[in-house]
Amino acid sequence: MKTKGWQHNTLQRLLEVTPAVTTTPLIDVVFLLLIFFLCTLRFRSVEARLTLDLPMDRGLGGLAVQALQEPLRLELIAEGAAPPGSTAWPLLLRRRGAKVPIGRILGLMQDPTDSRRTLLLADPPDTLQRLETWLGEIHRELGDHPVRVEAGEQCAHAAVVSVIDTVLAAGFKRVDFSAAPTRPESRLVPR
Amino acid sequence: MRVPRFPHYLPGPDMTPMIDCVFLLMIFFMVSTDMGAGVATAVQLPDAAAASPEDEEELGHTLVVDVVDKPAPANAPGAASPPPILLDGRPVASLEELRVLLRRRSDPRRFPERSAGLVPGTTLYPSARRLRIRCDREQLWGWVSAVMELCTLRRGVPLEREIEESPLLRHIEIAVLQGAQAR
Repeated sequence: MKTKGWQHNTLQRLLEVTPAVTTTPLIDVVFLLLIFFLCTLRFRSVEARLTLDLPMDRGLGGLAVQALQEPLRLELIAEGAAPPGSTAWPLLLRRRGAKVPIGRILGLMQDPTDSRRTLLLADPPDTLQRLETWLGEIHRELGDHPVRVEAGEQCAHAAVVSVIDTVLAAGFKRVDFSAAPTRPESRLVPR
Repeated sequence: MRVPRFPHYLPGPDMTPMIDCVFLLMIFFMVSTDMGAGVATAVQLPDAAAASPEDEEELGHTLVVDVVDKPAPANAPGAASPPPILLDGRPVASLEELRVLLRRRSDPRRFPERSAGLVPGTTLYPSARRLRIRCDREQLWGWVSAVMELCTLRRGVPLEREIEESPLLRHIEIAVLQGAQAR
């Protein structure tokens, strides 16, 4: 189709003006959003968990099984909470390199020859690393024996978690924990 | 004389790559930022190397109790002041209130865990819901054990009352950070 001269000029001028979306407000808004997210940024931390199934029987059921599998008990008490005059809590548990102890620990186990007696395991460790080595030896001897971590109310949460973590790292699978440890000093028989 | 015409575009830096980068940054921040309960970050979790990773599928079905750090002596478990505990991001006035709220949310009749068997002496199954305890590393263990005791049947209280009031939560998770432990 032929076009006249003036029509050709108008068409050419229209084609020369490239239609464009004004992006400036868009960039402004995007920058504002970016600044907002930068200011409110809080990285989501990936958490892990230590799981536990609580008993629902008020301690009245399953006694026969429990008697057969008396757990190895690890008592953890806060530093300063040891009974006066007691010789059963001589060792402080520390993190490696740390000066401040996280508590005192005591290994207790039912006497295999007499179920009424509790044995104090010889030479309990004083660092978490030694605790792991020590528990590893017991694990090799006993197999997957249940372990109970009995922690005093005044213990720091991190200290209790460290001990539970160490027990798991030593190879024990069945770990539970409880508060208000019994303090049967009179029943202790050092091996 | 021929007047030189202006070019059809203004000379300047090309903004397109920058906008691309800005958009990418914005998407990164939108995805990685945590807009959840703000109080939750006040809890510094302890480290544990042997812990198991959390299950994303179960998170929506889990009750979360935060035990935040609080200066002594107000943080003693037997103190009369409100406990440093939050349930799903909201502070509770007392442990008794926490128990009532936990029971309301655990609702063993609505979420029974039949595979666990009946709670002895009752016609109830324990709740299938999970309780996650996020306790500050410096806080006392007594608070964690106090929360766990709330979830079970109390001794010395009539069973008829307990089956109506106890949350009957048996699945407890202690939240930790999975990191290198300073053993």
